[in-house]
Amino acid sequence: MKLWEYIIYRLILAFVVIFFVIVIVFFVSHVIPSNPAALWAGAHPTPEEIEKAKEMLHLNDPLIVQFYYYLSDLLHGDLGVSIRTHNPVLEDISKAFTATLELIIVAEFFAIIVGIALGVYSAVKKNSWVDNLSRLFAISGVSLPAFWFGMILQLLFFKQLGWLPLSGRVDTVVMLEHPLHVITGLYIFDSLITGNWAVFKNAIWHIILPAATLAMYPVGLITRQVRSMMIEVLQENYIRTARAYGVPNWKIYMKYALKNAIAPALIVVGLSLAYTLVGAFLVEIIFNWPGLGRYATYAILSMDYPAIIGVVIIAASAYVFINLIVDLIQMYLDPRIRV
Amino acid sequence: MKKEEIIRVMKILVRNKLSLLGLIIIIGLVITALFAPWLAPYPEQAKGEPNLEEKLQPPSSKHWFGTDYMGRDVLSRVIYGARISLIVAVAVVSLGLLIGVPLGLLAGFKGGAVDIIIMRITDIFLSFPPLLLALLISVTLGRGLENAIIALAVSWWPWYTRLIRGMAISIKEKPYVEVAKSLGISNWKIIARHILPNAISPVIVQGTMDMGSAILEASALSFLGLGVQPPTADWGLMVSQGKDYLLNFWWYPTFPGLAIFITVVAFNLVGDTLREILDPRLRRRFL
Amino acid sequence: MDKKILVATIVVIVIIIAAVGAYFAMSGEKKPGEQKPTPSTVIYGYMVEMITLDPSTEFSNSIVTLANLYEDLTKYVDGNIEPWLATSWESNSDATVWTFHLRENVKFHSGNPFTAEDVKWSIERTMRMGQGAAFIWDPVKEIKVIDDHTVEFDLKYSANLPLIASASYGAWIMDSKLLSSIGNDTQIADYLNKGHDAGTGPYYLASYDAKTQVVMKKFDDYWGGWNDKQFDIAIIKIVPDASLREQMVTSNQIQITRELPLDDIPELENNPNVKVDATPSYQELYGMLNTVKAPLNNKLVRQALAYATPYDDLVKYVLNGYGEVAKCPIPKGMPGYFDDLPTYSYDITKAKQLLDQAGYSNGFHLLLTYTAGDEAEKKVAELLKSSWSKIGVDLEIRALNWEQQWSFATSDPSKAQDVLIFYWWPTYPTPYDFLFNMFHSEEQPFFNLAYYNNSEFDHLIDQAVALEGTDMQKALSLYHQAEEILMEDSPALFLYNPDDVYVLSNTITGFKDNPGYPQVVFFYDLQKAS
Repeated sequence: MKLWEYIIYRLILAFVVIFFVIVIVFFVSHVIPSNPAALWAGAHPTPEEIEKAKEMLHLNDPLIVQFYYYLSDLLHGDLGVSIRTHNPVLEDISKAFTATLELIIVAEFFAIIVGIALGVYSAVKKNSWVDNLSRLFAISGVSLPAFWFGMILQLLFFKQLGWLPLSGRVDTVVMLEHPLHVITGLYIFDSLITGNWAVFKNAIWHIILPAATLAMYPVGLITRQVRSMMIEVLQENYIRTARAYGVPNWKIYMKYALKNAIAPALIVVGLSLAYTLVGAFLVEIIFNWPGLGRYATYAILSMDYPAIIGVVIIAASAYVFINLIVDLIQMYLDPRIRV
Repeated sequence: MKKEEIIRVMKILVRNKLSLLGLIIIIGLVITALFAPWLAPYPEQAKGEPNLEEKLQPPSSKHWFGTDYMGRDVLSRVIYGARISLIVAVAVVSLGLLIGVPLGLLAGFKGGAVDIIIMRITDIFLSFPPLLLALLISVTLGRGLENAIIALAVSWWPWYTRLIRGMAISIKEKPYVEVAKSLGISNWKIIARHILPNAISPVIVQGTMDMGSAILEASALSFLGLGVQPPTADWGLMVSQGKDYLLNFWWYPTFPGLAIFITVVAFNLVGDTLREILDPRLRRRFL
Repeated sequence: MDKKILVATIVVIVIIIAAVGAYFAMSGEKKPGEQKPTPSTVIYGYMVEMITLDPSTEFSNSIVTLANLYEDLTKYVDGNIEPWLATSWESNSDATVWTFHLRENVKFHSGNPFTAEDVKWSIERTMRMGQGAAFIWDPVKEIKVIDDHTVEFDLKYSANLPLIASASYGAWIMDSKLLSSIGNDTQIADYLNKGHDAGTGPYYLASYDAKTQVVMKKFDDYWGGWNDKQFDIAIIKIVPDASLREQMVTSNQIQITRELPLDDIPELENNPNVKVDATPSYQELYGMLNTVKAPLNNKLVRQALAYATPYDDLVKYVLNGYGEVAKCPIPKGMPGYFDDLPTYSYDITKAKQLLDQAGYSNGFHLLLTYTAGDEAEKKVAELLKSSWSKIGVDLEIRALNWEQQWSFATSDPSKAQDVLIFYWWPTYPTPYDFLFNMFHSEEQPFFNLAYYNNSEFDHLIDQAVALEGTDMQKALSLYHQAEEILMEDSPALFLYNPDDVYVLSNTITGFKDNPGYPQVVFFYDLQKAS
């Protein structure tokens, strides 16, 4: 298979996946004994209201007709209206998406810095106690139940030390006194370029704990990956040559070794991106972060199918495309794994 | 895997301090689960009997891990929770193997259209964020332990299919299989006698390593209220219920969460070493 | 070469972003040196998102916003009907024609004067749309504008209209001149949900985000007038996490909140920064028993369950004492609550006797459903399981989403759950709302989830409601008879009435919970503590 054929295959696959997801979620949510009309009408509806809601949601039509309605709306870019919040799903999602994006970016930033530093250090001090400790740390990172770790951080940094806020994205009062001009929806970025220091500081303050929680998994992955790549690189001939020429150690590590180890490590970053997307589900609940994960979880728990399908389309697309890009980079770097 | 090889692997596992630690924890966990009724100070409370007079007591000599909102001994419930966690781990992985292995063998051995269809299906499953899939399935099937296990297994099997298909393809080319074929031995027999025994060991190893992730994912489902139903003692569920009590009654969510963490670390410590010995290039599974 | 291109691309992107940002930053006006006195702000930390801002259809929690933007004709206060937008009212002798005299010199937020035309238009729109709580107006045949400040309601049958007009749902009066210029009913709903309001209330809507916060500002021309101690800005901030709300109120980041973990309340009572306000609510928790499926189709078995229920423990441990044992189908404090009804109390021996008598000495299996996510219901279920096991009942507990729980319950009673736990609260405070919805016979199960069918009972409450407008005493005595039947038949367990527990920062005073308007904080009542 040529490269472009492979890309096309993967793209087709992505669409098939997403289509299947739509079909499955749609039919499942209509077949299982639930009652979207009741969800729509709210608590204590009258029989007439349930009838109205049924009509509005086309629940009296045959399932296949309902599906046709849904698909044709979808093709026009209309994801429908959330049964739970009565808002257009697209609007809900696009608001939530930037919140999640901001969280993921900061978490990955954390992860890359800590992961590379730890990885390089333990490769250099291979098999020392520091190396063992960093291995334990890395494995702990991938073993932590994020929802629990977030709570422990809250206990420590909020309740005990009082250093950081418990949850949320930014304080209401700060936002009121210093209205933020939203450009990208990433509060930290927006407040930075508009010079809104109060909001900037506040947003940074709020993002530390959730981002640290979310970063634990990628930190573990990146540390391990960087370590093993560094060990491999440090055994290469040119490193030995450099040593023989008396190039100082730090220069060898930073300039020669790390440069070669970093590309494969970035692949892990890409892969972990896909993970953090899902990890954000639980972290956002703990930290009351108004993002996609919290939205999705509540949608799934209440079987709000337009919202579920909407989120799944976004999440699955992101996951599929991140994986595709990662695979392509991997193929570019290491032609041996060409399909 | 030959006997000598197993012994060799075990030796390495024991020699490495960290994987030894992991092994010890896992063995301890199994013992805890098996002997829970004798180990737990208050087995009745672990099974759900309320003890209202002592609700939300901090850790003390009577209740080492404190008590929960019904006054039940958290230590006893954590001990009983080990059972659920092990059941989930074993059940998810074996169910995953049960679906994944036959499909992988079939795809690898038959090749052609069968292979293409099976592998495209696994591609579809694998291009789905896994926890999201499990979440959807278990909400669809309804809350409960069995359904959570099924949900996880369904999002799990394609990994095994992929792995065993690769093994099957390489074994298929081996001379003894060619010979068996030329002797007119039926396909089923060839699969059962030659391919399965030679392909299964890496899959079993992978399965063992996956148990940690299975426990972690199951606890996430429990945390969302989709797993075991109260009053059964389950770690994820206890953390979830303890969430509302976090700030004033810290012990309640802390200890069950710690149990999840330590257990998963133990499995991953062993798995990490196994991976280094057996196949360092094995791509790590993502949650 | 490719490296250079990469660097160049990044530089260009950064410059573009910075330029765009700078442009927006410049365009926002800056007023250096301008110092205004900080407006006084009060924040209500609320649990769930807002649903809609349309007063005609809103039938859930968004009244916490609407009740500060809009007003009803009458207000329900401690069992009495008091003037609000109407100053007085009277009816003919059989309560089928009601005349309301409206308050003068009232302005909408748009500046339009409030007149009888607005009353007619608002209620007719609600009735026409037929959603939410529109059914409360079912008795109304015609609304007549007599003059600018007098409006007459002609009814199809006798009803207590001033009570209905005080409803927390579906009775808000809107600015007809403003809204009718917007377009049809749907366009009006869209307009409102974009963050507009059209009320006469003390606050007007300044900004609205259903998921995060609602900001309201003081309406200077409010007919009730203002004093210095009241708040200029009132905010409803959505904070789903209970522990977070707790921390925020103790640190004065929010000034009022509710639904904190009840286990934390005793500690908060001792916290000098906050005060706890607990008043009985008009909510009751029921365990609906399946009266058409064995073994609960046997009255003796239902009575046995009622005796085997540890009522005091429920209140003590589930509510932490913030509530009362329900003695009757109607919550305490509401008309229709009677403390002289024969009632059940925890008595295992009696329960066993009844089971023996019914022929169920060997026990049986029952399925209980509750609404997933409701911690209190979960605890109640667990306590029932443990208590009922003493009389040989093996209780299976199943958590379902409310929609699933309800759809399971309304599908086929003979295959449905045996016990269903749920809350009921009134649309407006009348016993009929409770007795009719939950126990009046139905062709298709809807909210009568005990599937109870008793024509004598039906007859009594139907008679009673017709008398509510004219002879309340007679109506109450009929309700009393009907409730006696319920207690004897025991189609449901009457579990408890939880208190409304608010926690307030010490920086505010003047709060008074009004159970007729569930979860509403009337910001106008609040004052800065001196």
